[in-house]
Amino acid sequence: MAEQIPNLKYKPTAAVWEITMNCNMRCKHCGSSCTGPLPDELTTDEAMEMCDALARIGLKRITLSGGEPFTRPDWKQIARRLIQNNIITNILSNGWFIERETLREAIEIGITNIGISLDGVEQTHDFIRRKESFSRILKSLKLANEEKIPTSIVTCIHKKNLGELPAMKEVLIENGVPDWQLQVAVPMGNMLKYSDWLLDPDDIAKVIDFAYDTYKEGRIRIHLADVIGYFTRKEIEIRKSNFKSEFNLGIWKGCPAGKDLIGIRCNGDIIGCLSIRDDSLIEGNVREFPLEELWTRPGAFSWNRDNSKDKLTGFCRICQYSRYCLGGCSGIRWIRYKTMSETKFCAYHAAVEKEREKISQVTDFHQLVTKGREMIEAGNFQLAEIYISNALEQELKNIELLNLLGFIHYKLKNYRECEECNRKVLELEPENIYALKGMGVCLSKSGRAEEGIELLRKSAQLTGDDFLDPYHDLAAVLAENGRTAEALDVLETGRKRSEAFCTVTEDFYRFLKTNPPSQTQSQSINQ
Amino acid sequence: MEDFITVSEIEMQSAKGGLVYDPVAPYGVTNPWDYHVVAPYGVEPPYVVLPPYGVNPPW
Repeated sequence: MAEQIPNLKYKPTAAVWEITMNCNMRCKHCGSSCTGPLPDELTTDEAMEMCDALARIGLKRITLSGGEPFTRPDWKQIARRLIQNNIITNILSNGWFIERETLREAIEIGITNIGISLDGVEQTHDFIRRKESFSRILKSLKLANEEKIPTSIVTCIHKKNLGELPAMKEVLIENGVPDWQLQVAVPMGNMLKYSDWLLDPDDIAKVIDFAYDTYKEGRIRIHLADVIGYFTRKEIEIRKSNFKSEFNLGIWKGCPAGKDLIGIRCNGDIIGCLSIRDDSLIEGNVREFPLEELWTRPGAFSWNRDNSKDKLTGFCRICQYSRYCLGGCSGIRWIRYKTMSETKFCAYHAAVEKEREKISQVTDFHQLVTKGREMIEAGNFQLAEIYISNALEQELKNIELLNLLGFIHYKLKNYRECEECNRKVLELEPENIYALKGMGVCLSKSGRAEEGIELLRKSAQLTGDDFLDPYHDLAAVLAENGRTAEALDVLETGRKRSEAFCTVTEDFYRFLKTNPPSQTQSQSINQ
Repeated sequence: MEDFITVSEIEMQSAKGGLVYDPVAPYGVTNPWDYHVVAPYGVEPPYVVLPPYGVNPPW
């Protein structure tokens, strides 16, 4: 068995390896446009080395796909070697070639599961794939049940089959399928010819609603692919249901390509995810560089490993969730929307855009401001941002609104936008106490603590007894930077000026008093 | 908008060390729950939460 390299920063949990481009079908939505085998596919010896290299980088599980993997003559050899290397292995097939003997061989080798693609009820599925392929799948499922090897169905959803999901569900349940993975068609390969089939962002909610209802029925387990989300309670509950950990919140945490996931093309090209068919994102080929080097070298998969909220644009840039999801599925944003920095294919984004449309009907300035404040009080900073930004369009130099928008962006952790708002106020009114304070905390959060502290000190010097927040914020930033003694001094100065301030800062004051500097820094304030 | 989880709920769970979902959805693997538990990308550690941006909104 291949020995694992210790202490890798990124360890791939999962891999998808298209072992051949050979396929007996010409599916209308095939992202790889598979036909026959490519002339440069990895040889058996090279494939064996790939199996060992995957073990060395600590891979846990792999899906062999294609093309149609069962058409590659040495598929059994590849699967066996992977399993000998303790890599959990399953196969994703179109179901055409699955005979009893195939299943018995798969069981003997140790394949955990056979995934089969099903894309509609009989007429639709056969139209998309090949005549009689639906009935072949039903036959394969029957055989798999008899041989007791787990199966699952993978469905690529588009407008042609969205309405058929309920009927498909019944077929799957009738045929004893325990697991069903839903994913979404993207415009690549053959699907480029059928772009009118693509789901709209508004359709995501329909898919999630169907998935949730199915999950609640409990007759078949539902799995949502990475492209379906994000942050809806229903989707989170489904994701959570597939994991045992009581601490698992089910939040989708961002594109795994090149972090947890590795994609292997049939010729040995390595890419973060096979769903992103773009040669510019290929890290290299195992014929030129060892897999370990491609996976670990500096700058590897930097387009995703180095992604951060700061690099996002458009709505994702200011979305309250984007620091978790980092812009959603890379495949769909890159292939469909031609950008890595924003996705429009997101249930939350779609919902906010609907709200934005409604808010755009409100033209009364005072109504916009009032609603914006109501949203802030309700903790809905995302919609507050829209209301107040729209109000600001009517009064570009309204200092109160600029301050308000700065506060909103701070709460959304949009520090660049927060800085911009405060800067505008300070250009209009250099000694505006709130903007000095806002800029101070914002710069501190942006890694410019000293500049921030300076502005906060200035704000505290200028403020009156009726508004002592600058003392609080200065103390907070000092504490966050491990300067607890100074923080306490600042807070005590403020507390001497107002009893009301004493009341609202009591918890913070006690926290500072009871936590030594090192502890204050490591557990510091963060909001 | 109530269909969506709130950030404070996420932060609360994160503070418990629970913000974990391994998103590598398998192509039909039956037991995906044995994935390793890892810290999520882009999520900050479980800080003590205090309000640094003043006590009040600016009005």
